[in-house]
Amino acid sequence: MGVRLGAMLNWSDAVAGKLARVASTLGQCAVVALGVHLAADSLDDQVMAGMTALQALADLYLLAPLQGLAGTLGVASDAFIWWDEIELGAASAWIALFVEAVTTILLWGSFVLTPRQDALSWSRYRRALSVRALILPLVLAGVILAGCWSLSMGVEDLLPRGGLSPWSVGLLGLAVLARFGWPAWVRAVAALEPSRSWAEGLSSAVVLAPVGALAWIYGIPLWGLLP
Amino acid sequence: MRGWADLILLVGVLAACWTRTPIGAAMVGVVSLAQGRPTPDLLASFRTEVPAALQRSLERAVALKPAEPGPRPGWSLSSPDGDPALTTAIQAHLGPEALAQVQALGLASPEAALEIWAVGRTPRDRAIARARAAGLSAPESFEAHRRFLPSAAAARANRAVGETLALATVLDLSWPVDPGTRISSGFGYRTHPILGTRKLHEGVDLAVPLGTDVFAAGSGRVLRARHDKICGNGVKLDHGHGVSTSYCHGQKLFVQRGQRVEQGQRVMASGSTGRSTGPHLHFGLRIGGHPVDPSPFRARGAVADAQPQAL
Repeated sequence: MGVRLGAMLNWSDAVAGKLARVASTLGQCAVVALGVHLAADSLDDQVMAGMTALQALADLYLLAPLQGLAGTLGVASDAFIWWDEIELGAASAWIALFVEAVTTILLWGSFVLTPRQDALSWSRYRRALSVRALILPLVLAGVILAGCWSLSMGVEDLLPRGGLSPWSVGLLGLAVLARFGWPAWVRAVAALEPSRSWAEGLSSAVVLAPVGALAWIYGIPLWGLLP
Repeated sequence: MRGWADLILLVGVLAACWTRTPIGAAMVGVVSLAQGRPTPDLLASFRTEVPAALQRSLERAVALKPAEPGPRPGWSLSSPDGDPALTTAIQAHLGPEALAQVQALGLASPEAALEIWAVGRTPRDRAIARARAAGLSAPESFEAHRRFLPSAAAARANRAVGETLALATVLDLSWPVDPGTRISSGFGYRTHPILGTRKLHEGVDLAVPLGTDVFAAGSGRVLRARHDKICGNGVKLDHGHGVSTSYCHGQKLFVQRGQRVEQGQRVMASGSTGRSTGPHLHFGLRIGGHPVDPSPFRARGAVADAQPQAL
């Protein structure tokens, strides 16, 4: 009887341990998703501004040669002549949504789909030095901080005015940072594999870097405190 | 104890992810699909204007439209007559009760009044404080702090502020030539006079002689002032709040890209350049990038002769 009870306790302990691991990973993924979305929401506006500037450039330098080419080839030139009628608002929103999806998947993959290494090692990190090793920790840090702030804002929105001070809600964000954000960052950085070339991670950096930059710029409620 | 704390944090984080991100919206979509209910819009958290939702309000607004739109004396909610276009837009889009409630707030800024009416003071104040904390310039403007509003409130705020001000902007536009000018080809699907194919005519053709002065329908910025093979010499103006107007087939342009224009300012002389079979002015109106028929917004009493037909 005693042996059976002990085995059951061991089993329930193992199940609880696995559940805690799954729950922890779920929390880490959610924090990252929240942070990426906060950054991507700004990306929408940046893409819009970029596309407007691109249109202006194309208008100045591309339109006349393209019209000439269309005239030479005898093809209808509607497709590009009216390209400034593209609905930029919808186009930029779709681009932001696509970038958000790709970034979220890449960042989730950096700590979910890698061999579990819960301890940071400087010598291991030095062996992994590459574009990925430089970009990923920075991007993930910005996104995680933005995610924690996003959660704090969500909680504050549920409370009546004066329910909790912004600092108390900020403490909640710090708790999420400690329990989910920091472990996710450590998992991702500790799991970086030794690199074969400096250029490793260059293609993913094209997507990750803008989102990371926007997370640092718009996702951290401290810049307003600076003089 | 620590386990319980972790569990509470986890529930909070997952709930926030569910309500605030497109990933959450996608999951809600999967559940809705399984239950046969309408799926949520994944882009809802990005958009500031939903022009399709304005269509019914546009129709209501036309019925309520003031007889003589003209230069706006300045945004004002202090009296019902202070800004006919704005009060009409609020009535048409948000309802007559909303107009009284917005006016009762007694605020000079219609943007602030509409936002407070839609979401309340606390969410707006918090969003402004967050935008300020993030270091954004002009955090009081709706455009700067809108992404810091609670997700549930953001949609209401976009409708009340973005769409209502777009509608007010449209109602405030004047006709680019004499409002009595005959419309030779209306808005809608027609067989194109040159291409011979069925296409959406994204504006109205106004029968004006060569060299007629064409005036800006509203104040704004010149988005385009150039020649191309379809529009000929054309001008496109951005009036703000997602509203733009375009003017095609001109003989001569009087404005340049990026220039600021006032309502009633001459922008071009009409002609027959580009894809045109005779002298006329093509006048187009877009809200949030979507073409809208401008003819209902002509001053009352003008000649109505709009049919989608070849010029």
